[in-house]
Amino acid sequence: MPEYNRHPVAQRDDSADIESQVVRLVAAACKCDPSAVAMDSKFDQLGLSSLSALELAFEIESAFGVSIPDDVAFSFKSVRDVVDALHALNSARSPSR
Amino acid sequence: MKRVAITGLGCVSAAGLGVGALLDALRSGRSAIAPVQALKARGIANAIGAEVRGFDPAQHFDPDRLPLLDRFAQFALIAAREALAGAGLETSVLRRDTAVILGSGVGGKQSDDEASERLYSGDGRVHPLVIPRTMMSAATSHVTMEFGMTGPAFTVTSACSSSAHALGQAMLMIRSGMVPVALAGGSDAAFCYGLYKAWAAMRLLAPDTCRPFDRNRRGLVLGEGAGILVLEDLDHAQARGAAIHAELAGFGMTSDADHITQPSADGEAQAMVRALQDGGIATHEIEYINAHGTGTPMNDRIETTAIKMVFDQHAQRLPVSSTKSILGHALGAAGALECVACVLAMEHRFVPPTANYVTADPECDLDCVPNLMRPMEIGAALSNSFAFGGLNAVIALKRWDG
Repeated sequence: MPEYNRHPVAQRDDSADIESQVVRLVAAACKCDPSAVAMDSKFDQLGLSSLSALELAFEIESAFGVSIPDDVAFSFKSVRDVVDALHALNSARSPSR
Repeated sequence: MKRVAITGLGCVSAAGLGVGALLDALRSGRSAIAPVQALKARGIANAIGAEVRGFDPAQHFDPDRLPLLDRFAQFALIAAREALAGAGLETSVLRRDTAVILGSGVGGKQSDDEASERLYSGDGRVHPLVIPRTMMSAATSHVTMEFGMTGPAFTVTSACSSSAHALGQAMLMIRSGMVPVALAGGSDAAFCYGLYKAWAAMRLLAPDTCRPFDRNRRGLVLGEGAGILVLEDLDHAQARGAAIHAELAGFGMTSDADHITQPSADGEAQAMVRALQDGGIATHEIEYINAHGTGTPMNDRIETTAIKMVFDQHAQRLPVSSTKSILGHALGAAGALECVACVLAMEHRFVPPTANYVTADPECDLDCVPNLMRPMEIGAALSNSFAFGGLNAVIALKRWDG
């Protein structure tokens, strides 16, 4: 079975970079300009539909090479929630040696 | 207008092969949901589902025939055999007048998935029997061939309402006098790698089990199987002295015309109203509803609202259970399996429970018959099927007292 969605894992410890990527993906999902998306923007305020939210979670998983559990994905209310979850997933993946 | 009797029942479900196994499961409330062996073998260790286990196709089909039969067609044939045998129609001379109307949501998806894997990631070849194995109408064709039924036959598809729509269609054909007998229902076999991954990608699958109407419900659990009923013009059935299980009294269908995945209470309520009107049944006469009850947060909340819209005060006294808690969601087969469940409930005088129920949800404040079956006379019942894409089908049944 081919791993179609196995993208190179983004090795980005840089918080600003994660934030800008998430903002770009959120803006694309909400069909708005990235300048309209802030860290504290709420998805319901951005008019994100339930199906677009599913697609956004999928695009984020692909872009960052992570798997976001359903309960985590459903807990996302704001852009910051996504960024925090990505930081948590990143630190869980690189244990201290 | 002719009346429609149900004179034969057949099924394959996660409870096992046959109506007896289904009846035992409904009475005991024992959920058939468990780790899925077929997916574990493909590396998805944590998949749960209501799988038909211990099923050996070679015990049911000639080796020459098996290469032509996807699992969904195998299930349909086994259920059709049982339904016809029970109806006493196996050797009937009526074959040219019998309609075969079956529903399926995903058809030969399993064979299709395996063929795609070989094509794209294997030796690049395609087996010559992929087309006849995978076509949506294959199960219907195989049933006509096995029993030599040369009357009207086709396949209905409307996602999770498929077999309910098939039953409604067959009912209308008998009412109109087009045919005296119909085999109707449907089958699906959804436990293939690609389809499971696609459901998981929608984030609709429960990680633990199916808990309809429970506050902590976390999604649906896939199932598989077939339900096939013999429908018969009531006069015809009585003239030949057939045993009658129940009357298929009404059918209601609507389209939400709203959203490709989210349900609408208005559309669901209207489908129930139409089924009641069609069957000449008053709301207070309905004594049981077999809910669509998938166990997703949204389905059960919206369905509760729709039932209250239709039944008003009576909704508080009306048992509404979801047998998907026991049998999983068998997709296109679900409507027919649940129709069989309603018939068994009427005949054997009990209400099947909603299994796995732990915590009440104020947004689903119906009597969902938690965990234990309830001995009860049921004079009339509804079976709800509300598909993705807003295609709603509701079957109204009346007990037959002879």
